[in-house]
Amino acid sequence: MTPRNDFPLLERQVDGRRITYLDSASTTPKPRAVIDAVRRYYENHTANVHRGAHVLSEETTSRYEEARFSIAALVGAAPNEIVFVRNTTEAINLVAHGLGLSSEDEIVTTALEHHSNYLPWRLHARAVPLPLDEDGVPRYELLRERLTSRTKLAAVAHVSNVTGVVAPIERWIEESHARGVPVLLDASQSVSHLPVDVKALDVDFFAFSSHKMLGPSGVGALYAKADWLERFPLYQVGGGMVARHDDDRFEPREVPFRFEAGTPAIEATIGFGEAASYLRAIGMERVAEHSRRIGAEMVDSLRSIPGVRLFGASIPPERRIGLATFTLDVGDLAQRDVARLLSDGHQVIVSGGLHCAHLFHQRMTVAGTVRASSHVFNDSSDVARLAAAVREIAS
Amino acid sequence: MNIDSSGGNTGVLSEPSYPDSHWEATSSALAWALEAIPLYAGHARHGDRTRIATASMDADATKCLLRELPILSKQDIRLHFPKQLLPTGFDWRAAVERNEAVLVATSGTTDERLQLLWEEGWWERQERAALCLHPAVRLVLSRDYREAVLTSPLCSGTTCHSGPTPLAERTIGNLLFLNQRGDPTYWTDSDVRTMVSELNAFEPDGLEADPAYLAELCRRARRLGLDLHQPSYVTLSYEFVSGLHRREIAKALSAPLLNLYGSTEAGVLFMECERGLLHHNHDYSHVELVPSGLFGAPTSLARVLVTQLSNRFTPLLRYDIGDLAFVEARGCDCGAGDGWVLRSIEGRLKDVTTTTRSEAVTVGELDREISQTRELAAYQVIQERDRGRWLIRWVAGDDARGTDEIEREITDRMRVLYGADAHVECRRERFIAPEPSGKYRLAMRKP
Ligand SMILES: Cc1ncc(COP(=O)(O)O)c(C=O)c1O
Ligand SMILES: [Zn+2]
Repeated sequence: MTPRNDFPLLERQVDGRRITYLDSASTTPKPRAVIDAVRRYYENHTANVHRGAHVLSEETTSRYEEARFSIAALVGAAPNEIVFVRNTTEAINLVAHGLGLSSEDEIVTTALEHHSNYLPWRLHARAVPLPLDEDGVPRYELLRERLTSRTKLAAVAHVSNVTGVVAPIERWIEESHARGVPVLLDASQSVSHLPVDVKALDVDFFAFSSHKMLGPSGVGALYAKADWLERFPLYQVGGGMVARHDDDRFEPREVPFRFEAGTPAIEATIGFGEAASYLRAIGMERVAEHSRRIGAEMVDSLRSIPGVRLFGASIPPERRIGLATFTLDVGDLAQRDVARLLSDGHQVIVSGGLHCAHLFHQRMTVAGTVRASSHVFNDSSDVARLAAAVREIAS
Repeated sequence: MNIDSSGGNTGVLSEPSYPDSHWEATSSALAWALEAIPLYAGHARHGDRTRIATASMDADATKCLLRELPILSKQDIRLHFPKQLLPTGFDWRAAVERNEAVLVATSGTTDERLQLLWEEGWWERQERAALCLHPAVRLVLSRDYREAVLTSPLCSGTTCHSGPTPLAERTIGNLLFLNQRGDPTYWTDSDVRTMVSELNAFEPDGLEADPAYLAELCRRARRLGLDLHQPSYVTLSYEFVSGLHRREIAKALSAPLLNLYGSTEAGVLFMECERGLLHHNHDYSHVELVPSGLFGAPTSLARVLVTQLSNRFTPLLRYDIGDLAFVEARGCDCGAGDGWVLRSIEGRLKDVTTTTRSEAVTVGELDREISQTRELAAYQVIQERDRGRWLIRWVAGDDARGTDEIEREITDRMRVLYGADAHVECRRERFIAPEPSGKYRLAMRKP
């Protein structure tokens, strides 16, 4: 499976050479189906949602709501458990707001988390991070002893954006639930790489962004069990979320619509739904197998390069996705500069820096890392180009 | 409609007998509409008018004249409402102000949206007449009776509710409107409990429901261990009645489940009798059943053209409702009266799919086969002609067997329908989205 031709961006050339796109953990290229869905909205339907009187509004509302079914189907949820938000960050903030936390409450998390799954807990409560081992992998087994009577939530990345390691979430959920603690999974990096069934997992909250799963930017989703959403206080208020408004009271619409005030990112949401359909059509088992294989190839080919230090590589490939993070020891060069050399000299597009995970880099005592991350369109030739370029810079 | 109709069976269906009063009503409705409604006045030739004026319109002449009129489509109604479809000089806004008329709007996919004017009470009168075609229902209606309605709150016949509405506002005379949500997908357990307890407290004699909505309510109530009040009759209306709906509803309700067929714009046209056949509600409309002409279809598969007999505001002449039906040529001797008898409503013409050999498969034919699969709660067939593929999305109700086994059965049934060599793909879903109208579409063709 390498549906390269579906992704127009991959034809892009810089300095006369075709790019090698290995930065999907930042954001993914979009397949033609998604681009067309967005274009069709502009060309044929442009209208606001919430069922205006005219024909275009009805068509648009229909497309928009179908996206909710499509997203729900991808993760095994019911449509009434899918709240559209701007991105993962907003999804997590919505939960932080909804839980009604206070500064004495504790949220167990890890030192590996993206800022989006850490700062909200610092702001609304107290974050209790599990430490990392020397390879940068959280000591997940310490969860049980960190859960206390003050713990209000256990929040962890399903797949780390820094190491590509899949967290042992089944155990995490079981142990948390055994203590009556709900679980939030930051699924930014997992939802488009692994098959997910939120019901089978019995997870309470599951947050993800469209732009990291082949869809447009500006929209994401929060899956939450319906009874949590029923109990959550109102979030933002305004148009679209209200059913009735009289002088003396107003009544919000039902879940999930009451959490979606204002005009949403309509075209992005339609594209988001299309991206979910696209992934389902390939089949998430196939996607996962491909992701693991590319991950293993990247780790294997980078490992042998002198001066490369990989993170999370102690974890077997079955528990990683197509992502490899490393430092390259090249004197005074920062890892950001390495990423820049890869881009400018080799047209290999990767991330360099702190990846919104400052705590991780402090704990590992590194000033930055380089991250190569794949998706469905990458193949072994991309891995070979990456390895050759890194080798050349290292020499 | 770009289905191939060449080579289809275009024989003629022999018309049933109607009482003279029906023909008189038909010819006078025609006479009036051809005179008063600008759109039709343009159609009528001079000779027609004299013929009508001299009252020489017997049954045959009426049929002849009808056949010469063009067929009216939904698009015609959209383009010509209000001015060309209302009597010349009629001040409809004043009529609405005086509560003599109501403006109704149907929602639906783009090609189905309509706005129309109803005369106050027009719907209720013909609905009552249709219900009375069934003796058991007639008996109930002869006393004081109450009826509960369960459908999309966007439009329940005469009343529109959307959003949370207090019980008092949803109880209108002897009617209770149960649903407060746009789409059953968003019913919470507490919504289900509320609907069931309101239904049980109201103790209606009759229940009028969208079959998909009622099936869902029954299923959810069963899961919650709630019993439903047992009405004397249940009428199923608003959308195609699937075998899946009937099966689920029958688990919860023992009353007869009766198909009440009509549409917002056309009126209440047919009512199911004790023998499971559908009888024409002929005091309110004249109906022409015209062989569909679809490739591979028998003559008895017909399109339904409606001429309204008592619509003073926006009378429709030869209106093609867009559905197909199987005519029961032998009629029915249950005593429900004269006129057309239908074996079944077959779904929308635009939802006809085709076999590998291009023969038409109606929604009804599809449903009779697929709904035999025990575990199904819902399904939707999408014929993707560009890929030469028949995709069936399905939702499991009771999970007795594994996905693979169920899909083997579905695939076999799809091949019975579409051809032994049809490329069938099954996709299990947890939910299938309704259309903007709140109705579920069981089949469609792409592109
Ligand atoms: C693990 C993880 N969590 C959260 C986020 C934040 O996603 P967004 O910026 O779309 O809100 C990212 C994005 O890099 C991520 O990788
Ligand atoms: Zn009969």
